Amino acid sequence: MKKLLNFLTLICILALAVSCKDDEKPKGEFSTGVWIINEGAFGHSNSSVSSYNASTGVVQQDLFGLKNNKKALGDVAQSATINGDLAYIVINNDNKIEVVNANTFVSSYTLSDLALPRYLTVYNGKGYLTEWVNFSDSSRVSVIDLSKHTVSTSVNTGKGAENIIAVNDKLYVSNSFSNTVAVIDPAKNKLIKTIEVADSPGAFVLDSSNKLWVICGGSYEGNNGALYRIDPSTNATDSHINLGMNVTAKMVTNKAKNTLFYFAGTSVYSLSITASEAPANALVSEQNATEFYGIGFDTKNDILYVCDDNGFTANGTVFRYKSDGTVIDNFSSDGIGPNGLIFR
Amino acid sequence: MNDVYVIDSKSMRHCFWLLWLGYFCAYSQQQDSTTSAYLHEVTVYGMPISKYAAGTKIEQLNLTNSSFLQQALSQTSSIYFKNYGNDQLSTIAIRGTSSSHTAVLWNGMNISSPTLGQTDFALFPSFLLEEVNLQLGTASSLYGSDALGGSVLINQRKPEFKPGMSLLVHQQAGSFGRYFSGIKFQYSNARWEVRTKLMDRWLQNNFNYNSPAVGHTKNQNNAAVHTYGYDQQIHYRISDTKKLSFETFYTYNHRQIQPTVTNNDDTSTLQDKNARFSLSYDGEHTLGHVFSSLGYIHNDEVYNITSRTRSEQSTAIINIDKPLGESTSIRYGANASFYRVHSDGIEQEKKESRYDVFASVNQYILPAWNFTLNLRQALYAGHHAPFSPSLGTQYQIIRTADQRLILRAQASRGYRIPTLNDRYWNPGGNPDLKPEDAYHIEGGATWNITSSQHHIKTELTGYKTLVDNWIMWKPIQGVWSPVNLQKVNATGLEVSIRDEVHVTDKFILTGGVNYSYNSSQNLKATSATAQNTINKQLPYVPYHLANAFIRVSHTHWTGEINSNYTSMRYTTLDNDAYQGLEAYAIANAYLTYSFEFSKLFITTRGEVNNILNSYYENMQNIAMPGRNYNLNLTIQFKNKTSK
Repeated sequence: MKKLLNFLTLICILALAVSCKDDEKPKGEFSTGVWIINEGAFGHSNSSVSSYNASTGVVQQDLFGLKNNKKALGDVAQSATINGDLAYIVINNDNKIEVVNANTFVSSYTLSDLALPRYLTVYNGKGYLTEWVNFSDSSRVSVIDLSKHTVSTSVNTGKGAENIIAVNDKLYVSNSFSNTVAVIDPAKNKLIKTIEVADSPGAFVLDSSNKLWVICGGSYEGNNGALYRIDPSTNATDSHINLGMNVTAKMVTNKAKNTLFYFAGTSVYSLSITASEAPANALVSEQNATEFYGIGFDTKNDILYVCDDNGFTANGTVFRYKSDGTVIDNFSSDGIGPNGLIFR
Repeated sequence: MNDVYVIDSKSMRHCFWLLWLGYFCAYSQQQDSTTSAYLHEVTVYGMPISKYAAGTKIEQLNLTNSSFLQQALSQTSSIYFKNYGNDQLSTIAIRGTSSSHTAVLWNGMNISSPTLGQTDFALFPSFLLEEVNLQLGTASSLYGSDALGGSVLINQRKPEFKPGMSLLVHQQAGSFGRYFSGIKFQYSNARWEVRTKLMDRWLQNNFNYNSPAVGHTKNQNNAAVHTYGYDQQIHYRISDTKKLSFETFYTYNHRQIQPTVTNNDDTSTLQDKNARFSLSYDGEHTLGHVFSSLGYIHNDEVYNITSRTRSEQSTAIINIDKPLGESTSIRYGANASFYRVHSDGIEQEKKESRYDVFASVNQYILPAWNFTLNLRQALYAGHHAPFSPSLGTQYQIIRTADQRLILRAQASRGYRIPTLNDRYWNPGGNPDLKPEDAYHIEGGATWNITSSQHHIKTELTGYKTLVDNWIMWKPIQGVWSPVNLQKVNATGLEVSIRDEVHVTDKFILTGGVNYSYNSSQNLKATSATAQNTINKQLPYVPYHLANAFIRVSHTHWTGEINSNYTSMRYTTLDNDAYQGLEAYAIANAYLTYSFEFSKLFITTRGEVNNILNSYYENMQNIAMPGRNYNLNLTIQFKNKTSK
């Protein structure tokens, strides 16, 4: 009997130990869940980041206001990037980055005096931020000293510097007002090459075979959206797929990094990285949406998230699908103009 | 001609008010212009605005205490202004409709921007205006496109051809670098009447505010405004019953565009130049009373130095009003307008012609009971606008020396022609858009009671407006495009009460309250998942609006305290309360001292606005100023020639 008790005690201790290990305590309220970037309506300073709990279905509205005495996040939240315990929220029309604790959302500091900032990536301990600067001159990538909170230098890239990704010790920047991708050597902070792609390049995806895909939205009414594949070892395009329509220049991939997901209007398309032409049919044609504006892929749970902006007149809607396009559900983004998601 | 210049101070003052539309007027005259003026016989070249508008509510605006038309209009009921800052872009929403649902007519011409379809009321300096009336409710049958929520009618004061001249100078200085200088001159004889008005206004607008969205006191950046303008009128009396009038109205406005509270470095600017010309003829003929005019308008707007939109409008109007016996009169006529637009958003120059034909009947059934019927058909760019009739009636139930009770009702159909941007903007313009279409009914009562001491006026109105094919821009395959998407049901109630108490001959006490309730419900959603926007209040339409004032007048002194209340407003179609704007109440006060000195009539006036220093917003995250002060000095010189 005693043995049995001892045995049971041992089991209990083991179980506790195991559960402790699995249940590593979250660092803060918002270190788990799905963040939704609601960019807000231009000129209204009503951007927000809300948080979605997939297990309860609960959406927590405006985390920044909630944790910072109802302060407004700013005018047009373009993107957010998490690095360590800090989240960098790029506020386009206020020319600033709001830096918050990524776990608690308590404000850390504000990096201001930027020029129409768009996207940030962190490479080798430094921040690299794309800035449009204005609508006529060359855009740039500014190098940010993340410990001193200052811009140390900047590199001109071309027009409309948008998305940025670090691959093989190089930075790739899509010049969205043109048809080029700029390649920057971060060691020298120098533009080393400009690669020609199609009109209005945007998001990048690095696939499982280490090839870099860039999605090009196409020119207005040109029906010439395209996917271009860049070989980072040569910095040249090695293939492309014409999509036969204009698309939104946003794109994500699955966990295996072998499928690309992009969208146009209220349809989502998926494409294998081995495909040679555009898919004939949409993966999803959502009858209940107004216009898709953002996309994300939850690689842990293999779920595709797509954001509907509802014309910016009401809070957005987030639709969820299995990776084969089967509808799961939808929920309110609890903010205006959801443009992207971050999976914690 | 043995004209002798004499100064008859009493009649001089009387003429002064008539001439300058109650500019700092003596108390009793001021009352005439501020009273709700419903069915006040307002004349435009012989034809009262209300003549064919039985059953509707018309208010004559008091322009005295306002710098810009926006302020004068805010004193009336059922109007919400979207002010994009202090003396910044100011668009109107009457009775729960949108900024493009108010027709603005200048000397009978619709002057809404042909590209944007709305009017910026901060571009009309009150100093340059003479007579402005507000007609509430749908009135496309009378005023054409855009008259869904209401119509703002800007007109010339009727010339009198009384020999004399007058000169007025006005100077204002106030908080946040506000300076206003104005001068008015008038000369008239039996043949001619010439009026000249000039104004110049600077506003630095660097006020401090404490917005909760910022969390600390901040100084407003990039909000300075400079405005100047003039109005020149020449009236020529052909005979006792025939007149010819020419007017040029020009305003220049340059503003830094006030950014949201979270912004620190915006440098956007907007420059507007609006030139308007009108030549009108007014005369009695056997055909009837003929009013006809030719007008030309040139608008030039430059955003951020580089983006420019120019539009030209030429309009011809003919209008004949003919009595048919004792109890009937008819009116008929036509308009033709030609538009030409150059815009960075519209690829090439765009031209458009619009034609309207209209007819009206005013029929008395009894001396105290009449009906008016109006019909209008408009054509634009080869399309038919909805045929718009209206039928109104009013009945004076009680008409005694000390009481008057009037009941009224009207039903009408209205429309709005899609703007040139709606149809031709590149990318996204939709040439196939249908005009917006509205059905409107309203009813009300006015009850005035007069005793030796009291002048009580009460007014009650209920209305319902259903607007279909309401145009909304939404993204379609990545391109923003307008669609005839929304359907809106606006209903409301307006109540006003005022009492003017003559305590003694020299001591007058006046108090009043206006209240309006506006429910403006969206009936259609952009998509199936946006069902949560159905039966919700439209953004920026407050359910409750109220204002109250108390005024004391004694000999040379007049003092007033007034306040207004605006209930919470939603900013989203799904009525997310978290993103709504908080309700606010603002209190203001002023004190005026007027006196005569030789040939001069001098008025000094001190104002305190937002006495309680409340932080409030008309638009989400756009700051409005706290407590502020203005000092005014007006000197009027007038010489009247008499036989």
